[in-house]
Amino acid sequence: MSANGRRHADGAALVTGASRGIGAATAHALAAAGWPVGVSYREDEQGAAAVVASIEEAGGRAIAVRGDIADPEVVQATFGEVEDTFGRVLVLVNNAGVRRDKLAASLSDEDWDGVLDVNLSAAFRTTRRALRGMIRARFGRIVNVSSAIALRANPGQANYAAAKAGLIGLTRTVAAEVASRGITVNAVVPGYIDTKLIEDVPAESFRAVPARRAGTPEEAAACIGFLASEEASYITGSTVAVDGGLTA
Amino acid sequence: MTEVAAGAGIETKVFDMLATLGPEREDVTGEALLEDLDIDSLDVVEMAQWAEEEFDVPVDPEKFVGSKTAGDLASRLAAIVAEARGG
Repeated sequence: MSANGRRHADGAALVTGASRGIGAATAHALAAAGWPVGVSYREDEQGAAAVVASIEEAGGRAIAVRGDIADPEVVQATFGEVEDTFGRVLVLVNNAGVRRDKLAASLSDEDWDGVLDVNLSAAFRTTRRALRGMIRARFGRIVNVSSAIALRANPGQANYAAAKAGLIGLTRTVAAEVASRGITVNAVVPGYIDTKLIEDVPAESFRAVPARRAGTPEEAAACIGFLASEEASYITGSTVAVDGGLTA
Repeated sequence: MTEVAAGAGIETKVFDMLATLGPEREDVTGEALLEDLDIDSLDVVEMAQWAEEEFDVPVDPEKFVGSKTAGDLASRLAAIVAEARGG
């Protein structure tokens, strides 16, 4: 086993939506575990650059890759860039997510499709792209960042709930397909995590959380980092809540 | 190199590669059924990935759907390589 417990010296990790929040914290956690990290982001160039800089400061390796991951061509280009720089993607964290909240009765096709494209279809395409290299390497870790909303209704989020529940179905099915090749596929279900995504959530919402507080991105990233580790080799198809008891 | 010779070269390489996935090399022949060789659909995906690196052409694993024998895989791959190289 090499430094930091990582045996796959020729591989890389790719985290989507990694310029801030859970994605940024996950990029840090994977870099600390010894993985070179592709920091995929859509808009926040400054945020992504800061993530790369702090990983490098800590002695890790990372590159920022810009593009809307909902675009199939961006998926190809992003993998190409990470693979050219660091080698095969052996850890994939599908974290990129958007919200466009409205009651289902007034949800437009654009709001539906836009959320499904980023939160679900993009994760399928990155998974499909990553699996080929993982199958060849007979090792891989895919972690899909779902949401407590997949399990617990929240009016106004039909599109987001459908996408995040879809991620759990994707997770379980792909896990069964590739388990024989040393590849694990798991989902994490964050509850209220203190990120930009919940900045408009009223503080009284946290009363529904047994822990009585929002989680930190680092708390979510710690779970993702474990699922991405060598040690988590017999955990696959699982859905792990990181929600302070919200869905308990 | 003639097309036939190129195809024959690919066949040997494919059979050698398939033998790394489990079966004995001598059992991997043109007529050998993939099922008998215990080559499953994920192995075919792996072969496609290998072929991309080996021949430096894009190889879509979907192109091998329905292949029954090791020879099928090799001939389909030879066609993909020939087409990608404009042959």
